[in-house]
Amino acid sequence: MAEKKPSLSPFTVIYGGENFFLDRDLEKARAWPDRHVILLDGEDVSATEIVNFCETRTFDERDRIVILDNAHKVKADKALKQYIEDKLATDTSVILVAICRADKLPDIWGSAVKKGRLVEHKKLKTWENNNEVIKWIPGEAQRLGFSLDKGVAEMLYKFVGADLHKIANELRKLAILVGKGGKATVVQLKSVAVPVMPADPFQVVEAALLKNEQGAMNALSFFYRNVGDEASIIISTSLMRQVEKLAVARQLLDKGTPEDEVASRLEMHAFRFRNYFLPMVKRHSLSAILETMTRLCRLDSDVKSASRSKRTLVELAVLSIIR
Amino acid sequence: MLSEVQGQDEAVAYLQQVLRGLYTAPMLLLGDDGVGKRFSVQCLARQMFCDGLRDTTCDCVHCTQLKHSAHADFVTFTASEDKDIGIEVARQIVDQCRSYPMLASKRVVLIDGAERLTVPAANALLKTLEEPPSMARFFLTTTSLDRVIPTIRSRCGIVRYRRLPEAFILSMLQPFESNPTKALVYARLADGSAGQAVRFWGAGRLRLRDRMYSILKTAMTRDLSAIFSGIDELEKDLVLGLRFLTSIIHDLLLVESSQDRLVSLDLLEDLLKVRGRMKSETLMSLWNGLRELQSRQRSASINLPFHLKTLLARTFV
Repeated sequence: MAEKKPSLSPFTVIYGGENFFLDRDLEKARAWPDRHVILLDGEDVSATEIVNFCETRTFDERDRIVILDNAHKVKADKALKQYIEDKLATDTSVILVAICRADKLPDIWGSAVKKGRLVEHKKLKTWENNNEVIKWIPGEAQRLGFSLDKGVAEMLYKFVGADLHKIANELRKLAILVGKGGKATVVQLKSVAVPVMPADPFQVVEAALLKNEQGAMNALSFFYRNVGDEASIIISTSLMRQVEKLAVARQLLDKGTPEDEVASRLEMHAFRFRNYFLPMVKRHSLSAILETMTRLCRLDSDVKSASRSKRTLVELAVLSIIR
Repeated sequence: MLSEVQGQDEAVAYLQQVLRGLYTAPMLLLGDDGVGKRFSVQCLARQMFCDGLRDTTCDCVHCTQLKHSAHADFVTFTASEDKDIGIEVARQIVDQCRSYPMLASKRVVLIDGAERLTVPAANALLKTLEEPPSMARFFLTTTSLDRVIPTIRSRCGIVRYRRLPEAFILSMLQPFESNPTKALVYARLADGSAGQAVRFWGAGRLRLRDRMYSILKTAMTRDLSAIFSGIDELEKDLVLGLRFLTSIIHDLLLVESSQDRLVSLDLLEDLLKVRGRMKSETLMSLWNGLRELQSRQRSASINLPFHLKTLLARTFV
């Protein structure tokens, strides 16, 4: 998070990929005291309408704050550009808060920043050696008025994953349990939080291609529990995408192509290729991959048309890859 | 006028009966795209509305407005590329039929793409189609009878349109395409559809056929990476590309025995060379695979690129 110019200014532009912080800032702006608040959605309003909202005076002559969510979806037009250009940096009778839920700031809001504030909320990193989410958890607990015992933050991350909304919910529950100034322990966490295994179609595919039967079936089960029936199509699509890459990699390796070149042909980072993808490739022969492709074609037709249990079909396909 | 409709004698005979007032039930016109279904309804409307010379040169108010697709009593409802005909449109159709025609004695309603009517839309139309108002005549078009809801099907008289003869399509293409071989290729690629032949010519679709041919040749080199990226590059053109690839396989099967039946006549020499490098069994299995793939693709929205990649990989690698 990087903040500039903390004083009141006609424009506040908030952007980034971490929706939790963006939502929190939006709520803060909505609760702005003594101002008439207008909340707009960039998906539904045009740039001209935004300017109209900014330029119309309120009935009671109160100052106004116009909050524009999804500001990155607004198509900039002449009127909005002109409004930003003409606005005096000292005129704060109307404050426009633009919330861009994107990693890159659109040009139009870049020009607004010159006369206002920029707040950046980048997605927190979840790297093994630098997990910003785990680092953030104790601070958030502190904000809610309690502290965490050793290992609670790590366990909470394991339980609910990197979704800050879910983490904040669990922390709120813990805050009620331990009370103000208390210290939450691992036991207390276990009593309030239910482990929700973060399941990703990629995990199912990776485990299946690594011939890890238990891992694949567990991930499959969690994914179905989280996503529901839609999981069938998502998993079959992921399997197809990955098996296709597997086939290309296997053939190139069989021809004696160097690993780095195979990685670049697959548009994959060499490190990722060597550590994650290559072990999968080594477990399959080209003829087995082609057979799998044929089976996946059948699965693709079946999950999109058959009346038979689609989950069973997916499970059978995953098992056939493993065995 | 109906006499302008060529190569569809049987369908025209049916429509003449409508004109004479012998048939008042809705007509479901069944046939491939571009064989003249819409055109024949327009011609029928002209003949029905015309109060002038009753020939192609007539410039009465009705004929003029129909020529410019601006007649108030000729109403067309078409499904757009990404949207089916929904309940709102069906209600509009019903409303249209409640009022009297504005200029002519009857109103002609054309629902273009009956297979694209949603279930609620089709249900909303049932009553109107069952007992059409005396001042309205309904025509529905479709490319596939199976995809039209049975309750709609049972309320309509079915008029079948045939594929148009090659000579007719060629005569349509001749004003545009000066190269007779290319004109013949376009005519044969369109497979009996004059509308498609003209569209293919306009969009230069031989380029797509050539791309499919080069993908086939790449597949013969057994380089999976090249095959897959070639297929990925096709994106939305893949459905049509699949049809062209099937026609190329058809040509390869016939190139040594009956060259006069080839579609891609302009590739004759190259086809002979490629045929020399391919076994008949490979071609037959590819042909069967492609036919199966096309039928699967018609029944469900399958991942077409992956299916084609698998077919080519399985056949050649």
